[in-house]
Order: sequence, then C-alpha cells, then structure tokens
Amino acid sequence: MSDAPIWILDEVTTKPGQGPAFLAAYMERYVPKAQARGMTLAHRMVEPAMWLDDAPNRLLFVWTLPNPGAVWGSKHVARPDADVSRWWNEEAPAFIESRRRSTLADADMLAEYDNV
Amino acid sequence: MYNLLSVLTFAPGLDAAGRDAFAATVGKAAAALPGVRNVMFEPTLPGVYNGGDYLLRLVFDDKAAADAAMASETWAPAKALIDDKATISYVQRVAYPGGRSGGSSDGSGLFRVALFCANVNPTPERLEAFADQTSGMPNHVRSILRWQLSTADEAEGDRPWTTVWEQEYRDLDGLNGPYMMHPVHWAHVERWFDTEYTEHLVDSILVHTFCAIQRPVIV
Repeated sequence: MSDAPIWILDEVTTKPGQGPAFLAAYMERYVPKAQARGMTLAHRMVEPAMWLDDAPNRLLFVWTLPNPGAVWGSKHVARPDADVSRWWNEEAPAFIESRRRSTLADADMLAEYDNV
Repeated sequence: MYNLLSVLTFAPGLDAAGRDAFAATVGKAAAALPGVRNVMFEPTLPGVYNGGDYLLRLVFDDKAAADAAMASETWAPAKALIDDKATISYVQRVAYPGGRSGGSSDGSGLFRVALFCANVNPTPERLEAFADQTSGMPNHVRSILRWQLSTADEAEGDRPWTTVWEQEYRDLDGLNGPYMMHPVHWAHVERWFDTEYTEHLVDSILVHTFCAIQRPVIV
C-alpha cells in the first residue's frame, strides 16, 4: 500500500464569543500531544473569516496522518491517555456548542484502500 | 443455539505439567458434556490482548441445555480446575444466544473473538447503529470467512461484556492484514471505540483473542 495522507477533520462550533478562547485552548492543551502522536496540523480555518462576539464561529482543524498504520499508531497512544478524554469531555465543552470528528481519504485512494 | 465462551488465564506459577493436566481434564470433560453441539478448546496464540491462555467455547441448543451441562457430574472435574485459583487465575466469561451471522468456512484456520462493553450512552438507537456497522464489516473485509455478532446475556471479567464479535479466518494474516487495514475498520466502525469521536460508545477495556482451529466454530 502506498503512502497517501489520511485526513482527520475536527469541526467545532463554538459558543458565541468563545472562538478565540477555544482556539487558544486547543492549540495549548490538545495540539502538542496530538503532534507527538504523529498527527500534522495542516490547516486551522475559521468561518466566517472574523471572530464573532455574539454568535458562534465554526472552526475546522485539518490534520493529516501518512497512512492507515499511522492512524492506528496514533489511536493506540491516545486511547490510554487520560489527557485526551479529559480535553474532549471536560475542558472543550466549556467553549463549544457542538463538534464532529471525521476520517477522510482522497477519492483517488479509495480503491487502493479497499484492496487489502 | 446458545453459546458459552470462557477466556482462561493460567495462574502465574502453574508449571507445564499443571497446564497439561488442565488441558487434558477440561478437554475430556467438554467433549463428553451432555447436549453439547460444538466444542472448541484451544490455546491462544501470541499477540492476543487481554486474551488469556486458553479459549473454551461450547454450543448448546438453548440456555437450559447449557445450564444442565454446566451442572452435570461430567463437568465437575473441569469446573474444579477452572475455579482453582492455583490453576486459573482469571476468567472472562460470556453466555449468549447466537446473533447476526454470515459466511461459511471449512473451519481450518483461525478463530478470533472480541468482547466489548458498550457503556457510553448506550441508547437503543446507538447500539443498533453500532451493530449494523459492525456486522457490515464482512461485506468489505474479504478475509472474514464466517462471523457472528451477539449480545451477551451473562458476563463476568474486566467489564460486564455486552457484545461478542466472532470471526473465522484462513490464517492470522487475514486478521492482522485486511481486518485491521480496511477503512471500514479504521475510518468507519472505529468511531464507536475512540473517545475523540462523538460516536464513542465502547469502553476502552476489551478482549481481543484468537486461536488456531481445525473445524468450524461458529455454528
């Protein structure tokens, strides 16, 4: 199997006015250990393109991992790490209204990934 | 059919003779159980997680037949050894009627079972979606020859196990290769197991164990 990036997408809708605070907390408390697990933060995007004081912002964090084996490797490190579940279950909810994580691959790679 | 599955871990100090005696006694008793329709009693292979040293899987027509067999004089010598902490230090055990199943195998190869505890917001809708996606895996993982996804109605061990996920493969490569590396696993069903996904449903403590087999196990 050739190496082609796997994309992990964190899609977060913040509480009104909490966008900047969430971004700062995510970068400080979540990102360093995710990077240590082999994840690369490729994009940090904000919708709309300004911080809103009285309405939610939508933030997209686009991560990459080099291949499915690296996906498993990252999961196996994260799963027993209490900081990870603490972040998502205890710290992040103070800032966010909703979130979703997705795992994606390039459309051209689907046939190859299916052929295992 | 009604199934009894035990994941048996030897006591640390049990020597080779003790292990051989255990295997001989339990194997003989299992084969002679009244009403038993299928017996699998095999040592686990290297690479299991929380997977014990021996797997014992017994199949009966129904729960009444299973209960009667476990209470029989035939089973008494095996039960005594399994209950003896100097022989078996730990047991993960589930009892379950056969659930969703599919595929076929000639039984030569590998049997793998995972025990899950779905205990994170286990609403009926989430449990149904988890079962739908898990039982859909064999449609994509071509190395799964035979499979069964069942709900435990009795359980003991590290967790109150809720789910029994069994497969038969031609060999270990079928488990470590296609099963682990197909996206239906790491990109789809895995969401139920990962605390980072909002779908998270299954406790991080699980049983993943397997053994070589010489005849069909999931019947």
